[in-house]
Amino acid sequence: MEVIINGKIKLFKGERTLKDLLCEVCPKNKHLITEVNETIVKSADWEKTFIREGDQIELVTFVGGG
Amino acid sequence: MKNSLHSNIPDTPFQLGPKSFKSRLLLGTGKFKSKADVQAAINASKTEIVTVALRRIDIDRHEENILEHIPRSVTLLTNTSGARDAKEAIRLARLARASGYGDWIKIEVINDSKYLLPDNNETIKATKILAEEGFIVLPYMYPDLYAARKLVEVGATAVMPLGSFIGSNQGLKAKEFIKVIIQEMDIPVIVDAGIGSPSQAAEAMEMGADAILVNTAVATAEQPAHIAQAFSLAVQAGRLGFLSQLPHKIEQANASSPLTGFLYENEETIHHNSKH
Repeated sequence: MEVIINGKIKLFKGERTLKDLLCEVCPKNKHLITEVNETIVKSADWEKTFIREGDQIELVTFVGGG
Repeated sequence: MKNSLHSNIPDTPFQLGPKSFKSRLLLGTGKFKSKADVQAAINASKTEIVTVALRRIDIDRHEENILEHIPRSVTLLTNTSGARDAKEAIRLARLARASGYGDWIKIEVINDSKYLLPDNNETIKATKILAEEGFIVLPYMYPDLYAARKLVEVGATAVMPLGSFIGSNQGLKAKEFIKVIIQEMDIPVIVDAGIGSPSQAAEAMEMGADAILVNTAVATAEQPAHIAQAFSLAVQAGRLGFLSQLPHKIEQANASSPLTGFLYENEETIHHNSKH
């Protein structure tokens, strides 16, 4: 399955929830905010959200800023 | 946290939307050399409002999150930097809210890469929609009175006029226009951008600004924690100057000590001596 995460193509085998995917790609980041196909998915819904072929996933977090 | 200097100032708290603050200094967290410096500057500045930005993570590289270095007690104000129009600013604001870290948003819409001036029209559009959605909206703006009035009308909690070009350390280049906004606004005015030294922060506070936001001047100083403390003191000094209703400037000299002669009281010694 091919998905696009932050503009980069990533390949995964087998069915995955958004939560599974986040555990794989950024296990240490505790302050993630996610969008799937331009819709915000709250962390409470990560487990219920299944990733599908071609999904565009945005993972953002807080950085320093003025 | 007890702060003797704060408690000595006969001042009302800084009321911003639903919260009130003792500190009138907001601190940005960009451009610091290390995240430990961010934390040290926050502590030294005694700030209660800290700005952060949102960015895509680099999934191939783990970086420690800035939030790990910001005390939980401070109010997080997420900016919409990177937004080129109202639509992008709104998207960023909604993402920030989805993080669960509150709904305080500093609208920053910039589509000029040379001068980085904020686009007031797009800022007004974004402010309207986000205020309707219940965000506490603090728009960063070019100091234009009509735009400021419009921002109040559409629900801004405060306005944040720029002192000078962002990151320039040039101080209050837009001073006269900021003065007009301070005089005309019933909502708080926070001077943002360009404040490069504690004396400039004090000057803005003496003019009647409600608060100051600094970032570059602290982040790029050799000793961020020291300058952060200096800014804290300057903001308090400027505020106290404002509250004391500074006397007017006078063109001529006006002696502070009695002008009579030292020993011969009835001779106008100084007056005569000064005429050659």
